[in-house]
Amino acid sequence: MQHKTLTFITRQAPYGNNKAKLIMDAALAAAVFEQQVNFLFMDDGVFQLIQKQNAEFISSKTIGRALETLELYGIEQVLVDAASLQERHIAADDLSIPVKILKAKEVRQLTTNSDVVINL
Amino acid sequence: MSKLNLQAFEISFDDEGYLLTLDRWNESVAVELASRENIKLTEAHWEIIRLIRKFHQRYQMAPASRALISYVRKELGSDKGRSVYVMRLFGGSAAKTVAKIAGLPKPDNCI
Amino acid sequence: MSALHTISGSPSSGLLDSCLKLICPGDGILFIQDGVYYGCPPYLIDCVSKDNALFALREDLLARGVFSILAERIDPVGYGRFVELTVDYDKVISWS
Repeated sequence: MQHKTLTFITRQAPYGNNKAKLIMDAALAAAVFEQQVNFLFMDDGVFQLIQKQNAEFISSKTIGRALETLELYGIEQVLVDAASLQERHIAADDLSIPVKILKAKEVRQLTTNSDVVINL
Repeated sequence: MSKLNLQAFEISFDDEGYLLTLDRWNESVAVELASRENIKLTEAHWEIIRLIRKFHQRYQMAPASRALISYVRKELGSDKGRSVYVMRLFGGSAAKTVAKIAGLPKPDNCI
Repeated sequence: MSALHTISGSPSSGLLDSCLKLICPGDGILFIQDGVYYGCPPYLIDCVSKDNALFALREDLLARGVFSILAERIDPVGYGRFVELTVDYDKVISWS
């Protein structure tokens, strides 16, 4: 199979709608097909990384748990847009999973070097 | 939809044979579900079944094959964390079969 | 006539700005669903007049892991109080 680099950008808060779940499923599916996958948290998507979430309070599934599986699916490039964190005053060491923090220039490089960019 | 009467419980399955009422699962149910797949459970099977249930409890999802193998490797070491080992126990669609026997929903992202 | 405004989108939605255009003294604002992120830093709610009481739904705060960083001004309420509020105010205006 031909290998492509796919960048998935998750831009939504975790529970207001199902888009965060949808794009994560898409990324996991791409990883199952052994593609090179980048997974980038941007805008409200960084709210997914807040610790101590417990979606049982709203009868939903806590997204942080599913995010921990990215690594098990072989997705090593888990990235976050620095500006989105700053705007929301979220500190880098407050995040629930290990991520690499990218500056604006690096985000642009990432998408430039990707064959496919999908954002939701 | 098929049904199975076991220990006076009526247990419902979806059209593909996955348990609809996850809390009705127990080891006897697993034995019965495995026999439907022509699998006789040994300790090696149980080890994987317990592990996938732990995965589900922790991550609130059933793993596709790639994640299952990574998880087995992480928890049980690289001897067992290989597709060939898990497939020898549970056949070609191991992730689906283990999920079914372990009483989990069908894995997302499964090809 | 006082109104309870419910806001259910995150700050990116700009819903608070819209709400503030027609809010009156004595009205209250209840943040629900993704609206509860308004209660977090950088505390955009600082621009809301002190004449307006602010509330946020406790379950939505806990689910999103932001209960502990809620602005002091905002009163966290459970579902029971939520219902009482909708009765206490003359009408409810929902922003989504």
